Parts: sequence; structure tokens; C-alpha cells
Amino acid sequence: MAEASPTTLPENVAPVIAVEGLRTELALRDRVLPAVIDVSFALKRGQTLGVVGESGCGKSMTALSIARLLPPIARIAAGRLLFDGRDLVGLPEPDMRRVRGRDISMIFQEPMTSLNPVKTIGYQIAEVLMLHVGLTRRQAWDAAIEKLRLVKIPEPARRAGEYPHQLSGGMRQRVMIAIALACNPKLLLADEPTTALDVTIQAQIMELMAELQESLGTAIMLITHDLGLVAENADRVIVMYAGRKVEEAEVNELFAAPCHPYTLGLLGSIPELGASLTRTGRGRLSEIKGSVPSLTQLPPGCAFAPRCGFASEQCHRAVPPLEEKRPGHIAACWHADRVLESLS
Amino acid sequence: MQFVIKRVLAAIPVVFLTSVIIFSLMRLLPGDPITVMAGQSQSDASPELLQQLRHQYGFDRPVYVQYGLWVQRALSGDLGYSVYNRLPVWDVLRPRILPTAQIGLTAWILAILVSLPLGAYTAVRMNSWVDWLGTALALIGAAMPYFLTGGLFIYFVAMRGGMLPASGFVSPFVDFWQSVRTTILPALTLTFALIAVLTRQARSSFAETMQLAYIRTARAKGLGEGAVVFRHAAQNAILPVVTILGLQLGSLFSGAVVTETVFAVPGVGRLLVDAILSRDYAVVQAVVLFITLSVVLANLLVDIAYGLLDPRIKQS
Ligand SMILES: Nc1ncnc2c1ncn2[C@@H]1O[C@H](COP(=O)(O)OP(=O)(O)OP(=O)(O)O)[C@@H](O)[C@H]1O
Ligand code: SF4
Ligand SMILES: [Mg+2]
Repeated sequence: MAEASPTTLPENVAPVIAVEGLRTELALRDRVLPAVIDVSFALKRGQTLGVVGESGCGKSMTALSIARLLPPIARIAAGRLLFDGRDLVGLPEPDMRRVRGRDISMIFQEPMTSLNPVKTIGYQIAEVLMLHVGLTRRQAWDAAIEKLRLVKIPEPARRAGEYPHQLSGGMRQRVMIAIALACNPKLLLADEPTTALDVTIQAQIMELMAELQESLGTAIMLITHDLGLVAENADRVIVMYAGRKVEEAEVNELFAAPCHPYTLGLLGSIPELGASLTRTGRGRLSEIKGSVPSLTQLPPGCAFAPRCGFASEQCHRAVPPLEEKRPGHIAACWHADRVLESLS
Repeated sequence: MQFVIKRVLAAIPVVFLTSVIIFSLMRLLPGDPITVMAGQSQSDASPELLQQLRHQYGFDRPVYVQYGLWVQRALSGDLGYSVYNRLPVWDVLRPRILPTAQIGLTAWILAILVSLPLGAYTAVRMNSWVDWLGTALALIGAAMPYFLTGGLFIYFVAMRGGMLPASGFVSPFVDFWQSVRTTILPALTLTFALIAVLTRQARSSFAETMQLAYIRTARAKGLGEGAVVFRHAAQNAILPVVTILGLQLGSLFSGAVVTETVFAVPGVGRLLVDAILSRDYAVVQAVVLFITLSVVLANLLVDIAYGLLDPRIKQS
């Protein structure tokens, strides 16, 4: 196995999940492309890890790798996924199925299509309880109504008998949360859970997740484009670019002292990169000049070099290693010191 | 209920149009029942006699008057008189319904039983050998005309194999096993083409459904592939197939015209052919009315089934 890149793990507490040197590849017709390259991180109980980065940088692939729900063309090529003392990579599918939905749950972006249109929402919640907790149909139905109450759906007993099309987008996402948290999972992979919802609903959903996290101690991997969401909800943040983790730190540290020009760009405070980089009101990812390089033509050196205002000749030649730039703050950039300097 | 009434009302123009078209087409054919009968009996009936017969049956009146009279009688339940068989039309049609219904329904049910699982399997195991085989069979099934499939069955199974009767039909009330034996070959002939259509529809429908977000949700719950396919994909994936099932009933009747001729089954399809050849206007009208009503009814049942399968329909 390739040597795993460093990760900053708070001491003493065993993590719920430790991802080590994860590499996920896509097998296309004529070649194999890496979608996730040597990504490592760890997450403790009750902690929220924000994962940010532009579209296509491998956030969803990372989450799907952990849940082992990758599409048929993708596969985990290297690395370990240590969960509960076991490596999920190579865990036989039947064992993995007992983990999915019980210990590791997922919420997806599309609340309109993530629920089965022809099954009642009560059934869709009850199903996980029958599967993993071994409740009977009756018990599971009653428990499902309780779960609906937990996610603050009014008139849960009546709603349980309704179908997804009878619910609003926000309500459906609450149902998804009820399904995901039904078995008190240790890890929740939330892939852009609020992107499709409008702002007030977003806030309610995040509040609900935070509340449930508090009471259940669930570790959450929160994938999002929304830096405002990260600032308010995450404890730690990792920034991904072209399949790699390029920076990781505590949330306040990252916002205060970004060491990677890409993060700086995301934060929209980098004058060298042009005029379009004004920080947007709600802290959405601001525009960075140029676009993510396609996986087919990753540059030999730093993948960000073609768009980077700090790039030097070295950057184009060699991939920068992930190093601790400040206490508990790692980044992959040859010129982190210059980036930090530019801040002051 | 309101929905059912609406559908029945919507069917009226369809039935009306079909009857007008058939009525006009039949009158466009050269000759009439009287000339055909006279030609067959080879008697030297005088033109005066033929004219008198025509007058007796009303064939000398203007076409629209004939049509008006037919509609009037049909509405009161009188389908008219078969000139060729010298019997009331209903007495000619009635014994023909059972063979056609028995063979057609057998073919229809067989097609459902084969194509839904086969479509689902080939969609989930795309590019497996079963998938290739299924696709090949579907193509062959769609390309083979009924008379060829039927002819091959007769040659290999009935004549060379001697396993099943090559022709005829026995009522299940007369001899149940013999009835089953006479049903198998024509039903297989009919079902082959139906399976081809339905399997392709089921395969693409399942393949599409398996890509949807809620299937990913089902997998994320920890469900096995079987539960994902049967509990979450199936009900959604068969919806488009159900629609096709209703539409295909019409093609079952057109298939019956050929298979009943090939296998000498005394059914509705065969009756239609004979009636057209003998210009037995009243029988043709009745058979077409019967087929139209069956198809309308089947599609009504399909719509009801659709409503039961898809909760989104009920509310709207
Ligand atoms: N089914 C697929 N076929 C081919 N390429 C794919 C497929 N799924 C993902 N990819 C590629 O894998 C890479 C990583 O995709 P991923 O979905 O993880 O991105 P993401 O960071 O989640 O983006 P987004 O913010 O748009 O959700 C992308 O470059 C994408 O083009
Ligand atoms: S390594 Fe070089 S190109 Fe890459 S982000 Fe740092 S300065 Fe920019
Ligand atoms: Mg994504």
C-alpha cells in the first residue's frame, strides 16, 4: 500500500471512521481515471467534517466510496476505510449491507427523487427498522411515526400513510433524515443535503441535523458548496481539488488562515486572481478563474497551477506534498508561506 | 368511478368511428353476399331472383340508410342476420369467442410471466449472456411473422415430433386436457411476438428505473439487490409495460386472424376472414364491434391497474 498522506487527528479519541490513502478510480472505455487520489481524514463521534470543493473534485466519490455504493464503473483502487475497527475495503457485500443504513447512512441532494414515489413514507422509514432492528411490520410502522415526529413533521401518524409527491421538498428531506437516522448510525454521509432547498428551509434542515447529532452523537460528513453552511455547522473542513485533499484544518483556523491558494480563492479574497472574486453575501463558493482540469489531462505538477496566482516553475513540475503549515493545519502547496503572507 | 364513466364516454367515438370505417370499407369491396352465394352454389339463379334477395336483405338501399338501420338494431342488442350462415349473427359469433379468448389470454399471460422477469433480469445483468440471448430472441420474435412461427411449430412439434395436435380446437368443457393440448401451439405462436415487444419494453424500463435516485437510497438502506429490484424498482418499472399490455391486446386480435387460419381454430379471427371473403356484412360488423369493445375494455382495465400501481394518479 502507498504511504498514506498525513492527517490531523485529535489525540486520545478513536475516530469513528479513518480514511487512509483512499484512491478511487473510474474505468472508462479506454482508460482508467482517478476520481479520488490519496485522500485521508478521520472523524470522531459527534463531530462534523465539512467537505468543500468545486463541482467534480471528487466529494461524492469519496462519500460513495465510504458507503461502498460506487457506480459500477468506479472502484476503490487503494487505501483503507477503518470503521469500528474493521477495514470496509474488501468487506464482503453481505457484511457491508449490515453496515449500510444501520451504522453508516447517506442523505443525497435530490429530495424530490430520493424517495420511492409508489411507497408510503411510513413504509420507507419502517423498512430500515425491519431490516436492521428486526422489528415486525406493526412495530416498525409505529416506530416510523415516532421518527417522523422526531424530524418535526406535523401530524406524523397521518403523514406516514402519504406518498412522497404529497410532501414539499423540505418535508421530503426531513423524511430522508428520518430514514438515515432511524437506526442511530455512527456516521452520516450528507451529500449536499440542502443544496436543492430554499434558504429558510436549508436553515431548518441544518438545525434539525445538528439537534439530532447532539442527541445521537452521530459523526457527520457534510459535503457542500456552501461555505456559509460549513462555517456554521462544521468542526473541521477539508478542501478538495481535482480528486485530492489540498487543505484541512479546524473550521475557524481555515477561515482565518487559509494556506492554499485554492481555498483562498474559494473564500473570494484573493486580489491577484481577478475581479470576479468578490465574496458573495452568503459565502457561496466564489468564482475562480478557469475551471477544474478534466481528469483526463491532470497537469504533472500541482493540479491548481494553471489557475494559480502564486504558481512558480516548481509548481508545474512536482505535486506539492501535504504538510503541516500551522499547528493542526495541513495543506498541499509549495508556497503556503507566501499565501499566508498575502493575508496580512 | 367518475373516472370509469369518463373513460366509457371517451370510448364511444372510437367505437362509432371504427364501425363507420368498417361499414364503408366492406361496401367498397366488389360484390355482395348475394353474388358470392350465387357464385358458390353455381346455380343459375336469374338476375331477377338475386335482385329480389338483395331487396329482401336491404342491400339495395343507400349505404347510409343501411348503416342507420344497423346502428339502430345494434343499440337494441340485435346484431342482424348472417346471410351466409342463415343464422342470427350472435349465434354465429358466440361459439367463436371461447377459442379466441382462451388462446389469446394464455398468450397474454405467458408473455407477462416471461417478459417481466426476463426484462428485469437483462436490465440488471446488462451484457450478460442472458441479456444477449434475450435481445436476440426479442429481435427474432419481432421480425418473425405469425404464419412463419406457426408453420415452424406445426412442422417441428406437431408433425415431426407428433407431440401436439397441429390444428383444431377442443372446448375445455368437453375435454380439458385435449383443450390444453390444442391451445399450446397457437398460444405459443401468438406469445412469441408479444414477448419480444414486452421484454424490450421491460428491459429499457427497468434499466431506466435502476438509475434513479431512490434506487440509490434503497441500496444505502442496506437492502440486498433482490429487495432493491423487487420492492423498489419493479412497481415503478412495470408501469410503462402495463400501458403497452393494453395496447398489445389489439395486436393479439390481428395475430389471431393469422394463427386461427394456420391452426384451423374456429375462433373470432377465422370468422372475420371467412365473413370478409363471403361479404357477410353483418358478421364482419359484429366481429369488428366485438374486437373494438374488447380493446376498449382492456385499456380501461389497464388504466385502473395503472391507478392502483401509481399513487400519483389517484389524486389527480
Ligand atoms: N458515472 C460517471 N461516469 C464518468 N465519470 C464520472 C461518473 N461519476 C463521476 N464521474 C467523475 O468523477 C469525478 C468526481 O465526481 P464527484 O461526483 O465525486 O464530484 P463532486 O465533487 O461530488 O461534484 P459535485 O459538486 O458536482 O457533486 C468527476 O470528474 C466526474 O466527472
Ligand atoms: S503549489 Fe503552486 S500552483 Fe499549487 S497551489 Fe501552491 S502555489 Fe499554487
Ligand atoms: Mg457530488
